[in-house]
Amino acid sequence: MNDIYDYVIVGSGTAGGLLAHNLTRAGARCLLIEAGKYFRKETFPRLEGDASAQLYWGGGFELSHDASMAFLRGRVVGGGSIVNQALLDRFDEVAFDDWRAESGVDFFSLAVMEPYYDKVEAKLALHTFTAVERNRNAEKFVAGCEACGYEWKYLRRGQADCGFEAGNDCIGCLGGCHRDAKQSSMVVFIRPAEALGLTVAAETMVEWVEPAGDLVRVHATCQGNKQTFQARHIILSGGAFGTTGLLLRSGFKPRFAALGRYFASHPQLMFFAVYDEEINAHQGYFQTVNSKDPRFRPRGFKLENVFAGPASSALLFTGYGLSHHEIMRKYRYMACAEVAIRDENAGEIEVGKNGRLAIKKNLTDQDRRRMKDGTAVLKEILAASNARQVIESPLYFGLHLMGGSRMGTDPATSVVEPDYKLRGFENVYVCDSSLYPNAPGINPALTIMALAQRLSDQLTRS
Amino acid sequence: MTSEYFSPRALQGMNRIGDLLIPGDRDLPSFSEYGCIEKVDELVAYAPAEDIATLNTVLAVMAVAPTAVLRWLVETMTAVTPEKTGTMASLFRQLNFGLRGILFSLYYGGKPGSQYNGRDPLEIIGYEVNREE
Repeated sequence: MNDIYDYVIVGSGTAGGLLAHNLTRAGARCLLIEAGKYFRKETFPRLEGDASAQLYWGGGFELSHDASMAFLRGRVVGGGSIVNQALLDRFDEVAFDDWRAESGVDFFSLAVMEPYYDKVEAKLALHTFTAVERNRNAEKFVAGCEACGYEWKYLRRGQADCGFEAGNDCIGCLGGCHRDAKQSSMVVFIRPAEALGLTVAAETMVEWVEPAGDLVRVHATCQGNKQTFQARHIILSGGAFGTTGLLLRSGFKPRFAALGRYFASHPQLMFFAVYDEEINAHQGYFQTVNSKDPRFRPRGFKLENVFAGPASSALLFTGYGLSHHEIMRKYRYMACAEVAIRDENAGEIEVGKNGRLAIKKNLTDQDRRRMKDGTAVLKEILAASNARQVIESPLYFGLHLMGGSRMGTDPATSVVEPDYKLRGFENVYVCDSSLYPNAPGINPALTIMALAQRLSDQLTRS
Repeated sequence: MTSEYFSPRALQGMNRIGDLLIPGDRDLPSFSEYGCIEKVDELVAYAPAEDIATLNTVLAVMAVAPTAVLRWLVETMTAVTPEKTGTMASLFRQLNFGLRGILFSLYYGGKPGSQYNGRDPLEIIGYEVNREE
């Protein structure tokens, strides 16, 4: 309790790790708090079920209030960057123009953000895939796109040596990279920062925060024991659910009408295409291509070439019993792609009386139109790739959790000031996807890091 | 077997509903034959205690429910789309996610029970992953 840190950072994911690294390197005394466990490449779970249970909140997934959508979010040192695909794209002008228009925040522009993207990218090993790295799943997607006249592109991923030439299959990477090749927050930022003096408190759940004059008290539970940390500043980097939930549990709702509102998640539906020949989509590089057709962006959807492990696939397929067995027997003959939409930010994050999150997230009419539009295009692509059968999963998933504590200039519609400070508090900062004004329709990770870089520059300057 | 999280009756219910969803055919074992229920504690140890307590009750009821009722339940919960509104639709979706999530994770989890000597379902569907560490 007597120990006073310069910064307590809550959440060790995409933003938290980078902030902890940069601030520690600048000489600040930092504590990085994470609810999940601290795994190493040697200790990440090797089996899909174990990985889902041990690395995600909810023991696998969390459901919206009416169970119409499931959300995935990492609960592990490194956060979402441990379990995501490390697809790192810069935003386009469309995304920033929309952000600026909706938030009134001037620095949301490609020109202003470019130096921060540059700085972040300089710290990461980035790889853009090539033809030789495509597996059969990707081949089918590309063939379908080309047959239909749709543009596609190779993905850019944060990865070092994935052992592709040695025959490594990257699907296991969804449960944490066993080679430290994936450019997670843990590999790139947290471990080097520990060498510089960063303290990491894993398996520590922050219950509430209490700004108290020049200090902030952080009340947490660590393996059943109550602990209070003190810091001169706190940075909330727990993501849309983590940060917003913490602010709600800390009693900030009466001050901020917008707290918990404007939640978006890029909802997605997965489609499995069955072929006569073996595809073995679980082998080789997991994800190398996606859609790039300029006609899709204004229509609010994108198509990604993905796959899933057997347990997740079994959950996604409809039906049960013998018919389900028959589908699972075709696992090796399947390719897969998903439609992800740029959804309206109409979701809400609340905290129930029991302290648990209640997420209200239903598709709007526009969301449904976009999903229907994207579905029609994807089915056309899969049919053109000579799929014998297309299995449509009826389950909506949200993987990019954004908003809830958004940044803006209008106190009626935002919670965080353009200088990342919680409105009205000098020593409480928010930096993660919770401050996103709306859904960009682009993978959010790299921009979360660029925003964190910008904040760390601001803090180290001061 | 015993479980830290589920009563003996709930485990019985889990095997019953498991065999309805995963009855086995040809070389694929049924859920109960595979014996993966022995590993259920490893899977649910990280789930919210409240959810597991609710599931414990639901599964205990499933242990004694007539088979026709279980069949109706499985049929109904797997047929409820995300678009359907109302409290019952929400409950069925929760049940569908919760039960299928646990049962399929166990069955395709690569951890057979101590009495199972057959081929693993992962091997049967051809899931082989090479890890170069």
